[in-house]
Amino acid sequence: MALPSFILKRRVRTVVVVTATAFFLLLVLARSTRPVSSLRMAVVRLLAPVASAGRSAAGYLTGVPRDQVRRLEEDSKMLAASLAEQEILKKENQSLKRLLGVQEDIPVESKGARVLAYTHVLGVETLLIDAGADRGVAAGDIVIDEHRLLVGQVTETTVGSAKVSVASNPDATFSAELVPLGGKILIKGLGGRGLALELIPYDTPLRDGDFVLWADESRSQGIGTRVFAGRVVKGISSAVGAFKTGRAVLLADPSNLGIVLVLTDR
Amino acid sequence: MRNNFLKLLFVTTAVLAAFFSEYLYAAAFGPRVPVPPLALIATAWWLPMFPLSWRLWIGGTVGMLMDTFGAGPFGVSILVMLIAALLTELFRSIIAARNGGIGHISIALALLVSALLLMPIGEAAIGYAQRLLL
Repeated sequence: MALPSFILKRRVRTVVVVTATAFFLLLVLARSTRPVSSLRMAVVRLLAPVASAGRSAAGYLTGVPRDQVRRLEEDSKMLAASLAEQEILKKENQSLKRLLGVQEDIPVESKGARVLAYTHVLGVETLLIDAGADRGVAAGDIVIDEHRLLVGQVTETTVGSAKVSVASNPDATFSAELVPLGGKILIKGLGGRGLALELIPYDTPLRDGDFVLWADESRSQGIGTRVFAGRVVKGISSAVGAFKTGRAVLLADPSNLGIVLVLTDR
Repeated sequence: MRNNFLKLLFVTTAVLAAFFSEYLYAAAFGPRVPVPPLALIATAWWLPMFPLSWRLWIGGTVGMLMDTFGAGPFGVSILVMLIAALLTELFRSIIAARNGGIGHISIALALLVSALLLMPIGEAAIGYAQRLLL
């Protein structure tokens, strides 16, 4: 006996609702598996042209004026002329780095990865890179750029990709050292590339233009993983008891990164 | 049914345009100006116009897009969008949603606020589930 059409329609609707719910719940539960990772990569590849078009359109809208281009060309020539001086400065820099204890070569294992996408929503910046759990990348690994500036920390990995939270995001906290005058401090992300410097001992000197060196004791002990994180822009903003606070800006520019290095610490 | 397909075309275009605009906005205003979740706003506007079965598929797909590119762990936006798609059914019975009318605007706003409020709860729930499973 054939079912009335309204009952049939209701049954079809129920099947579709259950299938949709089951499908998406399965996606959530099996998010680390290869098929879901492949699906996520397919979404990234599918939307890469849209993201690229968005960036190009922004570049067109905020294009540098012609006279500024000329000035930049002049600057470029001056920079070329000063290249000769660079060699002398490089030697001086090397000796200063040795004095400051900054490692010239990072002895931990680092893995190069391409940046697949950069997003910035509600003040939270995220990078998607093409190195994942299959290459030994794990949540908590530190990400730096080609100039060895701190970019952020891996928050999630899949097969073939990983998500990186930028070090200045509001939920980021890490220990650091002040350079060149020294002193251990705590850094908290403020969003928008801003860093709050906290727990600075009252007698620790802090000047605008000083650098902040990422120094996680658990990782750097014995392996010398030290990378520059930020530059102090506001020395002393307030003093509470034995500590004072300050502000710094992130040195890396995550929005313009093409390649990053992941310090896997293994 | 054909009407739903036409609406699907509109919602797809709106979400893609929002995704494009997010990049444009972020690049134009720099890191110090927070970018609003335009894809979520576009979805909140279009979602009340669909029946439940369509809402679940559309909401889940947009959630997947937001999770793939967003900061939170994968699954948060999917769960939130599924809950939002179900919640809309409750809203629809309270206010008659006519496209572009006060009812529709109210539902879209309620959906947007619910989704934004549910995000940290979803993130905490996923974190708890991860700790429980590991």
